[in-house]
Amino acid sequence: MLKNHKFLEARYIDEGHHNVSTLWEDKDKNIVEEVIQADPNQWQWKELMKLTTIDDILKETVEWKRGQSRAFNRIVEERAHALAYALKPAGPGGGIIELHIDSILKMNKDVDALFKMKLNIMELESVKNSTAAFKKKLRKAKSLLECFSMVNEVHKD
Amino acid sequence: MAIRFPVYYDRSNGSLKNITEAERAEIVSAAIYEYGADPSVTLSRVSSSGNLGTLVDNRYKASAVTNSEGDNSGGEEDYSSGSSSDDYDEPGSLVNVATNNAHISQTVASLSSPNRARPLYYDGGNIKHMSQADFQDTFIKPAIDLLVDGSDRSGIYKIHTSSSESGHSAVSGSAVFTDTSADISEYSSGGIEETHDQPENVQLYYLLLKTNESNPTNKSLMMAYANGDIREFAPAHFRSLLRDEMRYAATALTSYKIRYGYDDTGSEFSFSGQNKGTAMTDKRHNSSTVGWRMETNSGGYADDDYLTQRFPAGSLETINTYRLRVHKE
Repeated sequence: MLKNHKFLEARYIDEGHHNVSTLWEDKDKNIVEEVIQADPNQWQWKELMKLTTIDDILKETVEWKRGQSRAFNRIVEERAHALAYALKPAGPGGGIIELHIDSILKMNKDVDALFKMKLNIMELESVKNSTAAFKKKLRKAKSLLECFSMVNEVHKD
Repeated sequence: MAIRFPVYYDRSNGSLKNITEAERAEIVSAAIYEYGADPSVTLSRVSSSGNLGTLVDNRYKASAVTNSEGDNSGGEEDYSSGSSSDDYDEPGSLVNVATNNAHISQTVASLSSPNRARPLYYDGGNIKHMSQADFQDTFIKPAIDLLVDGSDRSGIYKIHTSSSESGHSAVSGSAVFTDTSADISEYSSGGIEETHDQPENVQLYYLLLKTNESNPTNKSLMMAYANGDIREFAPAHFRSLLRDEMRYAATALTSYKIRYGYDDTGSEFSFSGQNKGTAMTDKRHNSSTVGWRMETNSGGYADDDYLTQRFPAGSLETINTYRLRVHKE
């Protein structure tokens, strides 16, 4: 328990609810964490119970887990959108596909995206029919733009 | 052996009076203050082999690289095809890195029992010296009960996540426990073979000592000379007596010796008592991911080399929680 600090919040940090992370703010607005044991025989726990309740700690714990889940989903969605913009192939019907140059440039040297793009390009008939030297050069391309530039040399619509 | 209420000289009417319970509590506070000025059971930060025990920090590092030669003539395969892929072999498991933190040593001073004149008290119609046991029961034991009650008390140590806190001094600018984990942002498929161990500090824990703040006031008790004359203790003399008795009791008085130790949620430590400061958590990532890249040898698929390496991933989970505790024994 921190003297001269303002109590902010507390949440359980383990499934068994044996330990609680407590956050405090000092006079300079710095946030300090103190992990205390959820044990009624401990002075720290008795003091904490003067500032909050078990119900409030449980609510804070649930809210924190929801927040973590939301943050995780957001990261996954952002990543999925970025990949979709950069890698989605044109459909047979020639439907309108949103292509953002920013997305391509952002992933221009992303190794995973580059590898997937090379796999896609290798499936093009024009590339399959190209020379071994061309394919070898394509495999060594260092960026998406370099790949596109090379494909343009052999691919004819 | 009992709690006594010693006498002081009441100048308002020129008589001796027993101290009150509140005045006894003031002297107990003074005993705590004197102990805080010169504790006899001390903790220090050492570089290794601290006698309080070894706290283990665990983190994962990446596996070794598995190098597979592609043999699927149908084309290269994405790792997401799974372990059934003809082109990839599964990389090995993550490797745990255990770092020992044995940075706290406890030192118990070697002291002799103080043999000094102690205050006087009324016993029926007589005035007597308090025995050492009386003195301990009246002032010293209550003071030690407070010192180990878990709150911040002068001369008592605690763990904190910063090396500075109001009313405390850092025993050392170096941490006594460092929780590390893999810096998962450093691992990428393109970097394979990645350096296996790429740690970062999650949290540093420091040892702090509660320092004295305000010096309490207390009644001046009476003492007797060998010839039977009585007089007030000189203030410094009485405080010195309090300090010596506190320092001795903390090291050697049965059931009132102050000692520190560790408790944990694992099975290594089980020291009873009150937690001092924040618990120290050892966190480690709870998942892994496989990084992969293709290393082209020539134009044919079958000649391609695939490099896979397992990286730490996921979120941090607590695998052990250590606590510094204090008790009397």
